[in-house]
Amino acid sequence: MSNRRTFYAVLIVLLLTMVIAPAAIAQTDFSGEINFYYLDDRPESRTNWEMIVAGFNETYPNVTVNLIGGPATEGWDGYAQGAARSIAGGQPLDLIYVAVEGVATLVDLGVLRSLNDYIAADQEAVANLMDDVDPALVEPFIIEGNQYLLPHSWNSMLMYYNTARFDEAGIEAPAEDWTWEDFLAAAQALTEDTDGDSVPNRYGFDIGGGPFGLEPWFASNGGSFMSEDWCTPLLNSPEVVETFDFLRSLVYDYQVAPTPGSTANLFEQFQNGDISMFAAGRWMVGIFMAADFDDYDIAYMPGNPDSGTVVGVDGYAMFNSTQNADATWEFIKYLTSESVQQTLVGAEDAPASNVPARRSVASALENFPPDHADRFYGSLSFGNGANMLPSPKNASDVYGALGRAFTNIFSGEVSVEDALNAAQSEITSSGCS
Amino acid sequence: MAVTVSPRRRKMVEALIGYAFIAPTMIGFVIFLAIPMVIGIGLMFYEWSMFKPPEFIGLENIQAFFRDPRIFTVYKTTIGMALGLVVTNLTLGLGIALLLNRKMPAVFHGFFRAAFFFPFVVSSVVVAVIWQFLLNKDLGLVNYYLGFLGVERINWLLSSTWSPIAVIITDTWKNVGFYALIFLGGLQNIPRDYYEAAEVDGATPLQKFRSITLPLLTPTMLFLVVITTIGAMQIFGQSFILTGGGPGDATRTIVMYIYENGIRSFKVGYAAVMSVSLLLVIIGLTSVQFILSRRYIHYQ
Repeated sequence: MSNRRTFYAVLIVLLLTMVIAPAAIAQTDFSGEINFYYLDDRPESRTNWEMIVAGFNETYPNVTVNLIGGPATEGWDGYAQGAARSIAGGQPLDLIYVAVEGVATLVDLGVLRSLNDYIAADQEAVANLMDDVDPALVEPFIIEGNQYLLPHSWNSMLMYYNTARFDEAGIEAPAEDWTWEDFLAAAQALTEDTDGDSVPNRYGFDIGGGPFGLEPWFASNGGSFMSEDWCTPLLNSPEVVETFDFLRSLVYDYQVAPTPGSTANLFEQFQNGDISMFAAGRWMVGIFMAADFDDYDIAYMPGNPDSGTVVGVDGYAMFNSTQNADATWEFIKYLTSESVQQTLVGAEDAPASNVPARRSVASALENFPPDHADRFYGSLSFGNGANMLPSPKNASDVYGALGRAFTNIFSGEVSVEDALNAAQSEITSSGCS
Repeated sequence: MAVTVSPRRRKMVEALIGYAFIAPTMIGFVIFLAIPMVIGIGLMFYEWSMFKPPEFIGLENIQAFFRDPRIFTVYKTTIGMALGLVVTNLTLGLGIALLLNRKMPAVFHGFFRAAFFFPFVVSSVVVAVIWQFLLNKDLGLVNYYLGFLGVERINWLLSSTWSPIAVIITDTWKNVGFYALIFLGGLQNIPRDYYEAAEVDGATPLQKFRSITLPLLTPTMLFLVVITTIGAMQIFGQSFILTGGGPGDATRTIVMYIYENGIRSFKVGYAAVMSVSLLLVIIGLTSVQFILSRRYIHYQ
């Protein structure tokens, strides 16, 4: 009996060893270095990535991930170009965290590797992610049949408003279907000249700027600054001209917004009520959590007549120059896993960030501020819906022309039409192949 | 027994020693300037994005340069700001040097020289960021103090009229100490005898300045005009940080435009055409300055 018991025990141990040992070996089979280029080279950003890398190293201790921070000062397109320049300068890079703005440019330069083969060979793991992600968040990463990124997180633009200021001014919270007229009326009620010098000190709204800040306004006016296929700029289309007329009137006619670029510290001014509304994505929630500020909520962008917004999605792509492709692919899978996406949701020691690409993880956002946090995901399907930020291969040229038109218009010295006609004529290259 | 060395051999040894002394500079010049310059000139005829092999396209980049609707505006902005910088830096530099050249206790001499020179050693980025705050339309100190004088708030950074002036102010604040120092050197090289002789003749301070100081400072001025013009034509940092080149192209300099095309948009061939055009413009301006100098420069 005792012999039989011993026999079974040995048999079980042998069987378990046969099953577990190969798996354990497989998990630690990868080694070498991964040079990972990420956005934002400030120390606090690096700390977050270090925590993620530490999690990866628990499973793959033989892989060393070298973190290489890129500057966040030139937008996603400028950041992506910076990565490309690093490669051109001889820096070996394996992996990049990049948003849609930079993807077509990198693909056009020929520095990204198609993930098709890895996706085909690893269908089960990829399906686990893709089944959990809205297809619209993957679409911009597929160019001419090749998928270059797996999605990580996304953002859309919503209107943040200071609830204390709204109460103080005696105005209702914005309705879901509010219009440009309702928005203007609210902004007027929230604008104050406190020292009697005929120049407002407290403004209803701050315009912001940039392609991501402007596109929701164009979208809510039924337009865009690029054609749907991202080939042709539409900077002087009637919808864009009308939108700029409206935004310009907020500064020069109604004086409910300061001149764009003159706001010294938007977040502080919003918290103390000197600015009552501004448009942004979910990234603000973490900033307000850290500042212990909760007198705010979010509304859909006002419509003319239907609301619309813009979506920007980011993810992970492998460089052609990678020397460690298999380990890099394992790291990409880890980066898009539920556990890593969970870090975006928010916690005391990790303030909220973007909207996770996985629906299953994103559903937890509603447990976090603000009251209408459900509108982050809701904006995808509300009103005119969300359109992906136009991100053509000549993004820098198009964004640059839009930016020059923007500053010309708000200098007050050039008419909206002249500024936009000039910007349109300055783009001579096509946005698509 | 003395070793006799033929004059020819001696000359050769002397020449070799001379070459050895200039070799480090020449090697640096060839590697970092001459070779890149030759490659740059060659790249004008190629389309190259740094990642694919260069493709020969003949004169297309040069034709594109002459068709570019922004190139004239960018050059106009650059030359306008360069002119402003030459005038402000030289005028204020000379004024400060004249003040520093006056008799005062040594401790004040040291203090004022250090105070005026200090911004010159501060990084351009730091200077631009500081001035961005100072020149803010609503919260800036400059508009705050101008308000006491009844001046309405000026949109320094967002107006096409005022933003180039803002760049000139910022750059002058940073560099004027350097010009003052060079002028001071020039002033101290003028022999006292000339002034004493003029005083004997009953010359007024203004007459002494016009007839002695100014003429004898002209070699210094030529040097400063040439280096300021070359430097100002290549201004980048102040505009880039302070205004981003805007509004529109109101403060976009040619070097910013080269950077945007060559480094950001990967149009390296086109950027090479613009770089060569800048080289030609600078050679042209410097030549004019040297030609004029034959007429206006007075050496002791």
